[in-house]
Amino acid sequence: MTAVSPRIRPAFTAPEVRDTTGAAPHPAALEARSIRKVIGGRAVVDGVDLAVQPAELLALVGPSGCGKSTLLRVIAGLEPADGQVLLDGADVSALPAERRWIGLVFQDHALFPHLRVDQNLTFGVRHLSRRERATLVGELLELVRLPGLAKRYPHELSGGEQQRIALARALAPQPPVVLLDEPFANLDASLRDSLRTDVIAALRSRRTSAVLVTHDRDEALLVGDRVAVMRAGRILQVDLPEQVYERPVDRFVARFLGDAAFLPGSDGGVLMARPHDLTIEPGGADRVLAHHYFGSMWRYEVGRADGSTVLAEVPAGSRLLEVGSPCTVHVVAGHALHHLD
Amino acid sequence: MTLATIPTSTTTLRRRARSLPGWVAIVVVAGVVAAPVIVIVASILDPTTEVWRELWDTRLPGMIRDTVTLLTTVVIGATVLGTGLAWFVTAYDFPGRRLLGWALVTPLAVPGYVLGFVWLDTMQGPLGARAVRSIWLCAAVLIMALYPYVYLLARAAFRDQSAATVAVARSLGCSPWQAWWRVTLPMARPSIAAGAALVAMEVLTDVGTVRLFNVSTIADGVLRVWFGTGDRNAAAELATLLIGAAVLLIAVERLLRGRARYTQGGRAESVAPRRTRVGTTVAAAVAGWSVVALAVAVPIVKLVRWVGEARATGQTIAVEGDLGFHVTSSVRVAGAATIVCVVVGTTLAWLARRRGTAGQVVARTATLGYAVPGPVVAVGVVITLAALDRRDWLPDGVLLVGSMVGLIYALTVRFLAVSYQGVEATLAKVPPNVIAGARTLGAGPLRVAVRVELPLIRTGLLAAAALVAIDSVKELPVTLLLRPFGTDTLSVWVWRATSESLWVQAAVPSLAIVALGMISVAILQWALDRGAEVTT
Repeated sequence: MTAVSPRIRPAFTAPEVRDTTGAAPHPAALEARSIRKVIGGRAVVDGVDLAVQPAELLALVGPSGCGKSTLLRVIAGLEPADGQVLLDGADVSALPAERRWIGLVFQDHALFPHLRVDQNLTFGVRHLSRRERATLVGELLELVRLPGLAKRYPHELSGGEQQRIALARALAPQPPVVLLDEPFANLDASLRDSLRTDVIAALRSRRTSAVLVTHDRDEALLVGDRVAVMRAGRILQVDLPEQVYERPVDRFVARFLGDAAFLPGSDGGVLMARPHDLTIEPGGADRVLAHHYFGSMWRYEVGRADGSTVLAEVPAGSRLLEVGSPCTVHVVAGHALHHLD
Repeated sequence: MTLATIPTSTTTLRRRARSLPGWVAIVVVAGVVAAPVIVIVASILDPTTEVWRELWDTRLPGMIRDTVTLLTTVVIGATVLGTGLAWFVTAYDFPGRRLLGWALVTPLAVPGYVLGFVWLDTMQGPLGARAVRSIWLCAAVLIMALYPYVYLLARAAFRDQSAATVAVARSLGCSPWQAWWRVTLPMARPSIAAGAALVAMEVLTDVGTVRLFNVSTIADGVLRVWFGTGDRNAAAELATLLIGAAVLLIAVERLLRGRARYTQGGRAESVAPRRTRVGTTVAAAVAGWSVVALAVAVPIVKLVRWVGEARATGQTIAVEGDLGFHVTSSVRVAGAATIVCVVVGTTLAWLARRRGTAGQVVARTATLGYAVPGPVVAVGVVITLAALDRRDWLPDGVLLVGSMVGLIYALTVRFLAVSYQGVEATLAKVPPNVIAGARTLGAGPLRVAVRVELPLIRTGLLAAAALVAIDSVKELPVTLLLRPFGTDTLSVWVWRATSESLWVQAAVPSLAIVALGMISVAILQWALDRGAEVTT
């Protein structure tokens, strides 16, 4: 990966940067404060607070229609809303989209169909000589691993290539923050994995902060430095991927991020068990309902004596318990179950 | 290509043999429709030099100058007006938005020559009898009559644009205005250019309006040479100038388009109309409604008043005035032309659809007539049919020239493109998997066409039919030159009255044309609201 030459002047008047020697030595790259957006009488975004640190990649995950995309549009300045948006500590709430200096990547790439790749890439960068332009285009294409495509038109590229160009275009003016709205949703699985790796590498190499919106929990856990879980206009939890997965704040977050069983605790509270927290052994009051082979392990669906169903895992190689055979579920030795409040 | 997909030579041959009837059909249909145009183009191979020399010494330079001036002014004016209005009704939300959006299409129902004599009479007072017959007033009238072509296409293009593209442009530092100029407008450019090309064709073709204002264009010259000298070959040669101009226009438009593509594929969320400052909205709404007033309301009011005046003074309204007879003639001619155009256009589009580029190219030669002005098509049709008449193939006494068949044939040559392109565009939107699904369920190609494709393209067919009907009712030169004895349409009646400057006499047939046109416009609008495409 090549670093982009520092001579590039973005087309923006950068928002006023607060004196960094002041109270907050490291202001968040992006901060949203009590964002509220009402559409047709319904609060689509309902009091969201969110901060993204410099060079951090925050995955914003939630079911469809939970307000993720709207939140992104509000941050980008494309939709008016109540609340404040701060970039590097400076309030940009009053600035229109074109003066916020935030990069955008959409699901449908939204490349300008009438412009060649190089013209798309330099769209947001002005005051460059012809040579500087060519250098920039070369560097950007190398950044997204697509050298030599400068003179193509968007419709002459594959879906994955289009999305790479869309990212490079967003990065061209060197914005401190890039927002990505379901950027991999339209691609097939094999393409998605390699594109995802490259996109993250590109963002990291530029130390660009990013918010990546997705409805795919695995993607969120995989790419996010931190993961924010959103539901019905509110952010329920923001934390490290392993924290939101292992220590969810409530049943919704627990279920949204993976399979979970809820067991009564000894103190009358509720304990969350992921399938890998539970295992079974032959004999007992429980019954095997189904088994699924995952290569490294067997996953059993077990009907418990109290009528509930739980998932449990047994390492591959052990004896297979047929459907209908009696068994007992217990917690894997050494696993402490998360206590839900 | 994998081995499995390489056909053995025998299957290829068999497949070719099976598709042969389809190919024959395409070539025959396209050939029949293209023949009159080919005949005209061929006439330039054997030029009559004396006629050319005389024309060049006398009228030709003036004709070229007037044609170019009129063409440039009208195309620029109609493009700016049509694009601006289309943008206004798609991007902004204001009371009466849908109504204005609809009203702005209605000038399609008012022929240029009707709008022309209404404004000629209106402006005669302030400007004086001499100054009123100016190329500029003629241009203004044609702009009002023709901008809807640009408006319809630009509106569809603006509606289809994805909101995400504009959002990205904003995030890359464009103000709303810059985003419009750098992204929205260029993306709509092919549609706007196509609309402008339509306007250009209409200007090149027009004879009714220019004659009112004493503007002698080349199309007018063709008509004058035909009637003045009776020299059909000379008229045909003059006509090739127009075909040349039309071909040049299309070539320039294609060249400008280059390799770029403007559609984004897939249906993304389009830009939602938004509210803006009250002042801006009011100003734009006033502008929009004024256009409707000038192009539709004023003419209708004026025509109605003329009819009333004629009644009051006991003046005979018509020259040879049987309204019912003329309406019937118009409906018969336009109806027959519409049916033939839609049926032939659908057949061609359907046949060409799975025959690759070659099929499309052959089919498209049949649509050449649209780029050829009416008088020229008429000349070509007469030359073609006269050749057939001389062959004695037909029973004694039956002549194609001057028959209803001849007239409908000519109108088909002229307007087939309108139906063909509409049908082609809607057919292309039928997902291939739907057809594959029907085939695997045991339906043959014909059954698929009737049970699956036809129902899916219904609204597209309706829109195409409405457009052909509007054009046929308004059509003047072809009808004027080729109408069978005893078939006088409304447009011919208007022409006869206006060429004597008898405006009052022309009021009744003009109103009838506008009424028929409005019905077609309403059908068009209905179809467009239900997903039909406007294309070129």
